[in-house]
Amino acid sequence: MLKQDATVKMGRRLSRNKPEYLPVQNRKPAFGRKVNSNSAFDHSQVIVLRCVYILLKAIVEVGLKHIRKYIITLLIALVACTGLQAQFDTTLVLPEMQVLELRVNAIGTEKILFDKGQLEERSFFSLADFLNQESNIYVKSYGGNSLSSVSIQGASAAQTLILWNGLPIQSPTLGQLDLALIPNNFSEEVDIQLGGNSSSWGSGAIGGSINLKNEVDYNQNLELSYGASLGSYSNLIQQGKIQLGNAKFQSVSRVNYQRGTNDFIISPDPTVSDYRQSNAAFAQAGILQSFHYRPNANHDIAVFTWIQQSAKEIPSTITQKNSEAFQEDAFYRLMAEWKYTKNKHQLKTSFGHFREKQNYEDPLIDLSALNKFQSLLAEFDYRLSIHPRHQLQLSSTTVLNTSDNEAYGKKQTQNRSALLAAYSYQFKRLALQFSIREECTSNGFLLPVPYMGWQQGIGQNFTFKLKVSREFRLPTLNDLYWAPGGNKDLMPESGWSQELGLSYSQESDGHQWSVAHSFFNRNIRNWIMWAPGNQAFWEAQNINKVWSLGTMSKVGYSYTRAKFSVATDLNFNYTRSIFQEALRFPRIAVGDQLLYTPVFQGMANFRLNIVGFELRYQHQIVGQTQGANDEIPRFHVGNVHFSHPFDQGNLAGKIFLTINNIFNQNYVIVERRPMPGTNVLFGMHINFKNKKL
Amino acid sequence: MRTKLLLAASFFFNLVCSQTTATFENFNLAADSALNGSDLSGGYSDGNLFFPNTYDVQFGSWAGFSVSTKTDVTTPGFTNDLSCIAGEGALNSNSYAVGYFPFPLYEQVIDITGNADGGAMEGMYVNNSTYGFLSMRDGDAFAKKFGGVSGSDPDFFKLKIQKYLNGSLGSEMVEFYLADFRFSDSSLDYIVDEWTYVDLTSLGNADSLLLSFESSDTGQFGINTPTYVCLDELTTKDGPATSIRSLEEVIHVGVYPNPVVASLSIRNQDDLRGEVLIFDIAGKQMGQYTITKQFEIDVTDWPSMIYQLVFRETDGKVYRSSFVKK
Repeated sequence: MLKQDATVKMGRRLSRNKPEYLPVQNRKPAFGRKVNSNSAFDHSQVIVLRCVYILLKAIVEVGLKHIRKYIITLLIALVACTGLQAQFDTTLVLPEMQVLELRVNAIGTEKILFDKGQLEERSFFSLADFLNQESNIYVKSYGGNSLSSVSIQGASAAQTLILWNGLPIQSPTLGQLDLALIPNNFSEEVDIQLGGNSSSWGSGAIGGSINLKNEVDYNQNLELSYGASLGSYSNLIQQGKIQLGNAKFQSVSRVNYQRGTNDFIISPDPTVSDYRQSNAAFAQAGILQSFHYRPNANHDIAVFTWIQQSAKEIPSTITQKNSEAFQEDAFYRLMAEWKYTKNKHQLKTSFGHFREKQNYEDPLIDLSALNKFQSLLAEFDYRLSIHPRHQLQLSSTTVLNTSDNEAYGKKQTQNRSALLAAYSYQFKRLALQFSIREECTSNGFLLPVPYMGWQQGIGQNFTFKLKVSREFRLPTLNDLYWAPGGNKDLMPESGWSQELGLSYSQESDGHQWSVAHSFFNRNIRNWIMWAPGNQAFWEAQNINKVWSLGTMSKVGYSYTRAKFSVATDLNFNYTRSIFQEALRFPRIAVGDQLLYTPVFQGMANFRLNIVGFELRYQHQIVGQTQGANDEIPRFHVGNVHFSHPFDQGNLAGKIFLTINNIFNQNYVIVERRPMPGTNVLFGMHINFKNKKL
Repeated sequence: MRTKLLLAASFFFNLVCSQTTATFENFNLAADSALNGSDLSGGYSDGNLFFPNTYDVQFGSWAGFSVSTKTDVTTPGFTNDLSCIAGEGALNSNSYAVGYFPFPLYEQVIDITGNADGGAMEGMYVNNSTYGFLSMRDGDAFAKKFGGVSGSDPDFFKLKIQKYLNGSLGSEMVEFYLADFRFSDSSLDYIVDEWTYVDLTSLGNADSLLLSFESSDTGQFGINTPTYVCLDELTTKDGPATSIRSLEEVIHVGVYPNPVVASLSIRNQDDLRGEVLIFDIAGKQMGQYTITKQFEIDVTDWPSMIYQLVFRETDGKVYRSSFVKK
């Protein structure tokens, strides 16, 4: 069930004369100075992060029995590094209180939450396809299983932060993540925040954030599941899950394999013959293994390892004769997490080590480009329920990104640390939140990043929301160091965003109505673009300002009876995201809409459940967008999904049939890159659960 | 007989106007190699022309002009940006210049120097680079295949040549279509893949040339078509178009009759050593002859058109003229 809260954004213009950076000493352009290797701060960070790396390896090698000792050691080191003097007294005996994660539950921000059931229902989808069909978020797809990214509230793809259990997994070199590479069966929950929240999440959370979560049920002793699907274009997907454990220890293994030729028919023009797309095959295999250990009610320890490899051929455009290009992606993500909860205190530490490699090759032009990086991340959260109405959260984040991309000439690093303090007040139907983040990079401190949220229930059915926050995004490693064109003097993109929302919901006798409407307004300056510089190549520059404003509306109705339910919702987005500076190259006029940002977008969903059968129909309408060369016409696409779930004691499952683009619309999302016509996916999924092993 | 003498005299006058040609052969480049400015010379001089080059040491990129003997006519993409689609220089030579005029102006100046400064350009041979030709023919990840999906898009890629004289940009312009798909009959669409002579005499006297590009495949980020061109055999008149400066460089060669119907006579009064090359208007070589004191060329079966006639001495000096086949 889609849960969506309305949020409102209200207008406030950015003070353009105010400096964005407060350097440590003398004011210098951001990123104009190199890392001072003698700095105790940087040195300690490096040491700590190296310790994290060693620890994470030790966790795997030594086993779970030593985890606690290592983590505590690391926690002490981290706290010492960041200077955060967190103190908590575990000897106090206070009544149990609910301690909320204030970043995840940010007050005043509109959210979409997809739970385990919804993700399992579409477990054969990639996250890109899932968001495209299940939300009104604009997904920019190159077609089939090709590169996909999202735009939320008119922001760029790099301005939507992708998190895995709270840690950012976007490429620090590109600033983006290909959502087509994320299988849905690797997440138990997807939490989407619509609208900026840089204060909580840091760099990149300007348009929104998508948090992929892994949860475990300690009441489960055994769970085995297997699913397989076959579809058009030789599409084969197999996936499985094995969960094994008891009340204290759980092991969860998730695997996914998929391949396809993606050789759909292309009808580029009425005057020429249709032809079959070539050089478009893909294959992908991944495993996500997690171990969870809960020695008692206070401690919860988890280690996650996500290893994945994929290979994709890059098909030609419709104005290209042929292509032999391909791309290989491989990554390894290791994360350790420790949660401690006692009375009014909650402590959470997370460490991550991510290594990723993308190899693009085009034999036709004798081109090979290898892009690789690694990230070390450490995050610490301390939450305190001072009183049932008052909560406090202190967090620190340290990130060290390293890449020895050939185009950089030498190994380059980007390190940053941040402290976050958040306070919330909740009483009856009033909720308030204030938070402030101070981020430090190797070039000095950024201006504080505040967040203010207010949520107020009005009567029994109305909810009012208001949010004002500052947003920012640091330049990527490519922006800074790519040769040619990298610019070490780049400033971060930054600005303010405001949201205002009002929602209404009512429920009676099986009927549910809901109406939600929200407004957003955002001004971002120092917008980073690649544009002609003084030399014969493009350079990354802080070259523009972008003003985004728009509305998001949703109307929903559902009716439920014992063996029958029907639900429908209509979504409509209006987004203006416009440049405020004219440029000659790229050719931009004041008031031009951002490329690939539709002004109008709509989605209608209809769902019918009757005696164990489910029928779903979705219809998506996307208004005209502007590509780099051509205008991309508006399009509409309909998708149908039939499924028959069954549940017989410990054994449950479903069979399903999905028909995408049922009206066989000929459309493109990215210019010169056609999307597939009518295609089907047929599959089954079985699940065995046993509470007693 | 009197008419023949007049025509011969007329052509003789044409040849006695001293000319210098930039052939790029004097760089003595090894086979399949190039000078792309990494020597930080800032450009290359040949004949009475200077071809500027900008090279970025940090990024290893160049713009302006390079000199090349590369012969790769099959590899598409920017990794093969120094090859000509002909696989050789004009007139079967080894070396040629590659011009790359990047954004934002897509233009580059060639300086006219020495005795030719302020004089008149005669002409030059032009061709597509392999990168540009294959991109227009097949498309690539950024640029479209010319003609588009249907093959009927009115695409074009044009080289424009203008002149500067005494600091002012002249109004005269010579346009040469490196690719032209604007014909209503698509079978006439073409992408140049042979060295083609471009007559620049209409520009008049100049002290520099301004070369620039225009393409139908232009988007928000500028021209998508690779903005490359290959040049060779750029000939300058060593002095203003209306005067003869150096009698020492006069050659005495008679070519007659002009127009010719069957047999073209060439009389080499100065006993020059070298060869004579003849090209049709599309740049196709019709013949190659060793220069003797006097010889005849049978043109009976040649199509009626204007032909380029090139005298190339063994020391590299080149003299050029034309004749008409009836």
